[in-house]
Amino acid sequence: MDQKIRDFLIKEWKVGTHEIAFLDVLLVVGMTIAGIMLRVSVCSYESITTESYKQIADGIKATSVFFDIAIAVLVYLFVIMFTKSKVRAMVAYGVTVALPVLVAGSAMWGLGDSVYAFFAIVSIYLTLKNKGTLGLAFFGLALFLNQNALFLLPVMILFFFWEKNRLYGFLYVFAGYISRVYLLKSGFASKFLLFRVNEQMADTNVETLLSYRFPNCFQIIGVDKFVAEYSMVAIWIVVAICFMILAFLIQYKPEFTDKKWMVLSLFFVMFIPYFAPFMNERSGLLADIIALIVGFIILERFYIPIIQVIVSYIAYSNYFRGESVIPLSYISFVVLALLFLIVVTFFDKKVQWQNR
Amino acid sequence: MLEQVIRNGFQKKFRIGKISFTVIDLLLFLFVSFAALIVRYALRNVVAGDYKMFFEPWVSTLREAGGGIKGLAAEFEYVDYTTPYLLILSYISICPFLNTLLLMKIVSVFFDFVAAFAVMFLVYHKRKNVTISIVAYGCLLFAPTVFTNSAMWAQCDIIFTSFVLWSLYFILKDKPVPGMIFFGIAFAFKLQTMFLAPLYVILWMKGKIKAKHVLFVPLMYFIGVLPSWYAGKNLWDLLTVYLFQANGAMDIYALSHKFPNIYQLIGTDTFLYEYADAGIWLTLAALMVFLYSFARREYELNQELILRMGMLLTMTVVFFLPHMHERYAILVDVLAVIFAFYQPKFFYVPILTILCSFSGYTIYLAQNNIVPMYLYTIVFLALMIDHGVAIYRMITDKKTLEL
Repeated sequence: MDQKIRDFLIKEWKVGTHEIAFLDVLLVVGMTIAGIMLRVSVCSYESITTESYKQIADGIKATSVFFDIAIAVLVYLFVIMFTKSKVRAMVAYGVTVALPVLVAGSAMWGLGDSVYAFFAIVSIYLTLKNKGTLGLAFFGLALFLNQNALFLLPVMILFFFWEKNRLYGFLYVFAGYISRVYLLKSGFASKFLLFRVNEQMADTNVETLLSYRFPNCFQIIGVDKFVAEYSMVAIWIVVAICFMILAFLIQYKPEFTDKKWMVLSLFFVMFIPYFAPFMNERSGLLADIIALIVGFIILERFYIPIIQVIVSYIAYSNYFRGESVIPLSYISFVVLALLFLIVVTFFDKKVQWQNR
Repeated sequence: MLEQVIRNGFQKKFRIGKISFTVIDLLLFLFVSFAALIVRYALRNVVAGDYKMFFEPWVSTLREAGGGIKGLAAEFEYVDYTTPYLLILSYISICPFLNTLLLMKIVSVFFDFVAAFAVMFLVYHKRKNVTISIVAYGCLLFAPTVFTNSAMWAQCDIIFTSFVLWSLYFILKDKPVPGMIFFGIAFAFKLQTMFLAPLYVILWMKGKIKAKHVLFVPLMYFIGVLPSWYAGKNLWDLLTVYLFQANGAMDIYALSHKFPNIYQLIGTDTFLYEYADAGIWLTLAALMVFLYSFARREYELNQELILRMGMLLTMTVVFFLPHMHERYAILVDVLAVIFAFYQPKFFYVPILTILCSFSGYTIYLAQNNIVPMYLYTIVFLALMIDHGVAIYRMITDKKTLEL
């Protein structure tokens, strides 16, 4: 009898082109329920207490939770694409659904960050699947929703030089950015749900700081001095260094496997917010999700997402609690060490770079 | 079609003399230079305490004495700069356009680029690759301690640093005469040039320079003081400016002036006189040990070793000497940038070196002391150990450490 149950659990059923075991379904259902219950447990928290926000809070939270699950599916697709291991992909889905930064960002904080994060990461997925122009359209949409998607722009430019997308696709990116700027400047932004919440959030930052509780270089040198000077300096240095990296890669066109593209994406989504000014607690969200994918496709680096998510959540926690248990300056050194590690990983010849 | 033009157009090659470069190299060079200027422009209005306390009164004194060469005859209550920089200040004092602060910053920024070009040539000498050399040029320009020193603080450390870099460039090209002339010019500008002097002892021991070439150092210094002598200053006083500085008469109130060295671990404000003397002897002792180890063994002194030794010896000096200021590791910073382009797997060296070095800048300029200085000191010490172990392995040709 026992053996029959065991066989039943792992027996694979053909559903369309996929083969699914009952245990797979059990994990997906179980983790999805656990993920939803995790969110239900914390959704009573109100990050913004204004009346106008309260009216939209439930809508924002529900939308965000939906996209949290969509991100988890996306992580599953990435892992299956790179490793062809269904078990690993299922586990990746489960971990993503319960990822603390996603839970806190959507159900607790009630911000729509998972929406833009989903579209930004979809754009990488589509490009690696040779649908680069569609990828750029999604990237434009992500950029329209949140300018943090810009962290991936260098990768999109490199995709062009590696003939993975088309030039006209950048019109979507341009359109996305221009529309965003127009909406924000014209005041129409307040009519849209996702923009309204970001406006509300921005209003809570009364003082202009070089970093809003995000563990980056400014936590080491100070966030409140020379704000005008350092912000301009930092923007130009980030742009110049990105340009130097792009120029070097375009000049020598090294061979990139799909996994290398993921590590490179991780580098940019960590590097840019580390040196860019005015980053907020949630600026590491793209890094959290891409780190998770990298951790699952390069198992030797499993600790990268663990450290990255802890670091990111400490920043969230700093917002929720009003202070950080560990000083953010120390956390910033950890992020710097992670950046080192990512660079080392990129050049590591021992890593199995080819997809299975 | 357009896409292919864009994709391939960047790789189109040009030649200037023996060097060929591509469109993207040219764009990179122009953009990096432009961005570096913008970064410095952003900092143009910052007024540091040193400017108010020292530079502004000095420039006023020079102006009252007539400016230019005549200004050098001015009597200062206290000044620890030598003639070459005072001459620059003296001409700034009578410059009819822009203000003094801006002019001082422009001079230093100009030398940022002189130093960056030296780095570009040094890296090209090793890698024979234009793109990598331009990236190195950019990295030097964007090193926080470099642009902060010149454009924010209005300090002039980059002037002597740039001459030291050109000196190293010629030494690495086996041209000791211009190498020592540039070292002499650097010395004529600032005493801190001597932090790297132990390296030149090794270079002499290994036959890279001859004893007679060393004469260029006092010669350049002497030429440097001529304008002041001509203006009527006492020659002996001019020749002994550095003796006054070496006494540290102005700096005795702390063993370390916001620099992450040994005194940050044991305390910077106690045993001021005892530790100051002891620190000098400790520095000499440490240098003697290193110099003996590096000079006694037989090995090929290659370019990586020269840079590693340059960094270690300079770090040893600033780690043990008392009264070191925030800016005194700038030589190590720039050497570390070059080293990373010689040996890319050690890319962490310039990042950590500059991080430690910049800690003092943050405290001085922004009065922010967020991370305790002793932590930077530990990182600085770890870097020194890293250099020491690497040098030992290179000169003994051993993979592991064996005494």
